[in-house]
Amino acid sequence: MPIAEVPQAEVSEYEYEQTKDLVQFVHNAAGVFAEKGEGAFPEFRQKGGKWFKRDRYLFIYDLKGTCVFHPVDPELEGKDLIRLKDLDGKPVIRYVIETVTEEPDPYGWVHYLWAEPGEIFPRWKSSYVLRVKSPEGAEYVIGSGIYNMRPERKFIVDKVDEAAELIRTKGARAFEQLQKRSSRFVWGDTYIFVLSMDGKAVVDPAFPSMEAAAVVREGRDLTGFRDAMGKNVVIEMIDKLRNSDSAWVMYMWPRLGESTPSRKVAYIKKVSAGGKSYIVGSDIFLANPIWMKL
Amino acid sequence: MVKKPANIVYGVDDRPPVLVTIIMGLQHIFVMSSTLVLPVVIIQEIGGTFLEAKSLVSFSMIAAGIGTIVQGIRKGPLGSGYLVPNLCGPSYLAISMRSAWLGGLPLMHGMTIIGGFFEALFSRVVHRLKKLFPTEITGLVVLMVAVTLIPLGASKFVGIELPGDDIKPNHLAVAALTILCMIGFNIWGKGKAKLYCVLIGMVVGYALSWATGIFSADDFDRVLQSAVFALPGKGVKRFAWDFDLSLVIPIMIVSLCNSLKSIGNIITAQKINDAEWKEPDMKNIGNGLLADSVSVMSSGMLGGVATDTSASNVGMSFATGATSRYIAFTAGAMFVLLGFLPKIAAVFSIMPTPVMGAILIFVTSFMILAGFQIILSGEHSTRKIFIIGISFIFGLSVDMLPGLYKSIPSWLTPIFGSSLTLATVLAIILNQIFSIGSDRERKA
Repeated sequence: MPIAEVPQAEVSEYEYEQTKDLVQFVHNAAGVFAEKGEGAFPEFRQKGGKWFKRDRYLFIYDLKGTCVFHPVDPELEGKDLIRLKDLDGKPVIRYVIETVTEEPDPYGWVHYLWAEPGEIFPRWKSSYVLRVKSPEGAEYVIGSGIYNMRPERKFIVDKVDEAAELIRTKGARAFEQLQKRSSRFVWGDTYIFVLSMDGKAVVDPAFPSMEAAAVVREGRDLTGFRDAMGKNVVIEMIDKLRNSDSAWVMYMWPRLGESTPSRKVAYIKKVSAGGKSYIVGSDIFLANPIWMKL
Repeated sequence: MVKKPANIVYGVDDRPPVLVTIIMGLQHIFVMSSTLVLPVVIIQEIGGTFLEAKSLVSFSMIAAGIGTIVQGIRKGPLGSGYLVPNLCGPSYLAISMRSAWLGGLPLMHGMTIIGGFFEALFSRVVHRLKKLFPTEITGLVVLMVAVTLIPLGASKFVGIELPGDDIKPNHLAVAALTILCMIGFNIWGKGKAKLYCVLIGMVVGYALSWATGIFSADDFDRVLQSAVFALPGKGVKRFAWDFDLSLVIPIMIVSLCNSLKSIGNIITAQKINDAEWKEPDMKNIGNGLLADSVSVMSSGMLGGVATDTSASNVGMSFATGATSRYIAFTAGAMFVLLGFLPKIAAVFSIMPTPVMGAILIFVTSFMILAGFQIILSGEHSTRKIFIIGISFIFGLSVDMLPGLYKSIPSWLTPIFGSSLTLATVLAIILNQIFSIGSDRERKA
């Protein structure tokens, strides 16, 4: 049975209904595709139907980067998009394929800039992608995404783990890669920061891009940094990593362009490379319950 | 002697039969449990442990239970003698979170004690402030207390927790059927059915939630895995208090705002128990605030979160026509007991959100009407139009236009951050301004 080849969706790893929904949606669609192959396209394409509602639609590529199915832009179908880049220079389709081929799991997340159906300008899109076999035995990647998605904690855990691994293997050479806007480590207002264990900036959270980092004094001391409530954030990070390899730290900080602080959470991890220890981390804004005023 | 209104079955000093008292008590602790999620939220915020969450919930229940009992007595300056239960309400949530954030649970407990202490001080002078609180302003306070329940009630009713989510049709359906059931028994029910309308609605709501899959496996696990009996605070550092000078002013303001809410609740209790109610009894309000402060302080001392008086419960007593303070004693005692009985407490605290939403909307309806009635009960005057009108307008602007007051200095945020406090403060100020020359008019 081809359906059995579609792995179970691990929805319990996610916090938000929206995310669980999308993950289940992609796995369900993969089940249908594995059974019917191209025969599923008419129902996938039907606007307002189960598979194409509002701004949620499916896309399918082969593992070389040729678009096989795209209900919003059917003219993309049949085209080789492996070199397609978004506004930040991210090779979107290459990342999609790498996500399902390189990682231990045949599924994962890709974050990039893409236009909503009917829109001209791109917005941040987070897509869940999954490797799937057609009934004929050819391999494809099927996915679907959410625009301006509420970030999950798991997203930054995965990225920080990945970044830590990169630092462990490449040492200081990894820092440059982490800072690139075209890398998989930077999207929306999410990026990787690296501090020395005494709280000096290595990959500066305020100036994450290489060009800006060259302008500021190297190794800014961040131990005096306090959040909007007066909490000493970096000191807490250092304290928490004293007894543990990874930790969560919460703080209040305004979103870009806003003046009132929102709740933010950082996932941090201790990593050693070249005889030195670093704190590598990333943070996201948390969603407030709709009824709660802070 | 006050005259019992026609719709009240068991008045404040009546002793209902034992069984009725117990069932009514049960009804109240269901509603009191509806906010037990707040201590859990605080623990999640600071990345605390499961044991800490358990301990915080248990001690909050015990403190709220004590508060409910103390509120029901009339011993010298302590207790208003009304059924005005306590719960872990939202008044102190922001400041509690902020203190826990800055200095962990010890700081939160320490500042809670300070907050309660301020309320105790305020309770001793509030009767001198009678001039500040003419009847129509107290009515406005009651009305605005009801308004503060809207975000929680409406969002739970339609099943939305986070902004941007879709309405959950099954939640909405369960909430609608639950509230229809409560309303049905309230309008057409006779005797016991009317008395127990909220409880019946809740049982129906629990059953429907079970049938439609709203209860999750986690909910069942929580009940199953909780111990039948446990001493609260096991495995947690207890009786540790910290204080922070920088939080004293903010907690004082929060304490005053919370007192305003309690004033609104006690006034409602006074009014619904007196067919010939004319104006608030400020001395009695002071005694009520002192009881509330006992609840807040004991919460801080024991290791719970700050409690406040529950508008929902007062609304419910109005709805059911049972306002006896003996129900307060029973509900309070049951709540204290639940602090030691985690398994049963869990049954209450997994209340499905649509049921929560239905209760909140149901009881808030009563609060809104009570508010209007109090506002309109005095003489009509042109002054009243502007005092109430302007305060109501700017009060609601806080909720309707988020961000409107974001540039005000941070020490004023407790006032401008809540429609209840902004409306009340404005009404008090406008009343003083517009009263200029009113004595002369009266003489003329």
